[in-house]
Amino acid sequence: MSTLARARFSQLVLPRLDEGYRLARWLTGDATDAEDVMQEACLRAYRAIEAFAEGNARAWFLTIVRNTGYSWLQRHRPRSILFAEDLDPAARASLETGGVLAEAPETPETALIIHDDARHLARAIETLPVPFREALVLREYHGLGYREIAEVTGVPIGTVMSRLGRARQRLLDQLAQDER
Amino acid sequence: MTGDDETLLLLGAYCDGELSPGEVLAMERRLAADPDLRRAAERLRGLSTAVRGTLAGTPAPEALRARVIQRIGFVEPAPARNWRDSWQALAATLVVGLGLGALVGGGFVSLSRPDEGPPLSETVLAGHLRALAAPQPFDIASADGHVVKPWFNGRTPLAPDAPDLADEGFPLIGGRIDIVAGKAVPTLVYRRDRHVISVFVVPATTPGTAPGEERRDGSTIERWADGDLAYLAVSDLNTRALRSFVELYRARTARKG
Repeated sequence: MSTLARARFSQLVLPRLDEGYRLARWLTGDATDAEDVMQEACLRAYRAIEAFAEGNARAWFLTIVRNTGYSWLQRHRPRSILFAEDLDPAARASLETGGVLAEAPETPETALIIHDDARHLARAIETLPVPFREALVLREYHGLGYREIAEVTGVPIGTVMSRLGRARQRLLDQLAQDER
Repeated sequence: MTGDDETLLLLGAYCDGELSPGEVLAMERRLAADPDLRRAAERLRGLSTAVRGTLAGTPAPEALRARVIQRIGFVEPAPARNWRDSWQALAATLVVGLGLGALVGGGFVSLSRPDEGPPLSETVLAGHLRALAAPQPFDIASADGHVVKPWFNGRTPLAPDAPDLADEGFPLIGGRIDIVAGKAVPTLVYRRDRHVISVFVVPATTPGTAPGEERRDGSTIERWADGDLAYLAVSDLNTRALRSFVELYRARTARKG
């Protein structure tokens, strides 16, 4: 399998490494961790490359990166994604509608942000819960449509819309708070 | 803040160009009538622009591509004689070679090796990386050597001691089965902070088990022998930490034996 697989890999995956890396970077919040995730994701993509027939290679690869990022987080920082998929339905509903997150803990770092818009924003993005953050990154950086985001993250379109809405609202609130 | 929750969600979807034509019309009517809503829309657009800039501003490591190719290249070494079979593959190899420069391209091609099976260190490193790529690096999760060791019984010809070294900062997290030189062998899985350590246990008669240390693609392999067993510890941990792990493991298993 390997020659053909490699040919497809260099055609489908290699051109998307930077893109994948940025998703991994914003999912894990750390440059080194993102590299680990990318190494894993590329191995997975390579092994799955013959099963990938036709279609949206970009969404396919981003899905792999996203899922690898999630299992990475599960392994190394289980608490960070407890928020998302492992909650019971009621708690999850409240997550989607913002209930739980209204009280997201403020870290000492967020209190010490210096007056620098870009860093404010980066910081604010990093403190978003993972499901919100990934929706935001897939939309704003990768430019995916709601339907594609729904495919990559495995949730209904309505959830994508609500996660994006919450994410942005939280960012706006956070920035407004920083200005004060 | 303008409007209720639903309005804001719709407004976001409007700015993203995700509303149906009917909804767009309705939203535009509301925007025309409501200056607050217009300001909210502007805020959202401004935020999008800023977020985009911030997200794209993270530098992507230049070496990533080379490292990925290196790793993929060695995971499934291609038989040297097949690579001319397909024009497509040839073209792809050229593309890779041209695009990535002689260094990487050269590495890619040189990994195509003739007939003989891959060396032992390559096999164990591949097993280790494959385990890292799986949802979890073990088949049985346990910090208890008295669970892990018997689990191997009947699954592999060997069942090694599995001391928990958590008190020294190397907790045992489980065991799994790898295939080395065509045989099922037990692998113990330890952790140090975020690093996973795989300890492969094979019969000392396996070729390539001479004690020593090797660096391969960012991982370190430590080999040692004890009686009729040979051990290979693989990790991306720094070499010094891996050595101290090996010393601990050896001391602990020696005391028991």
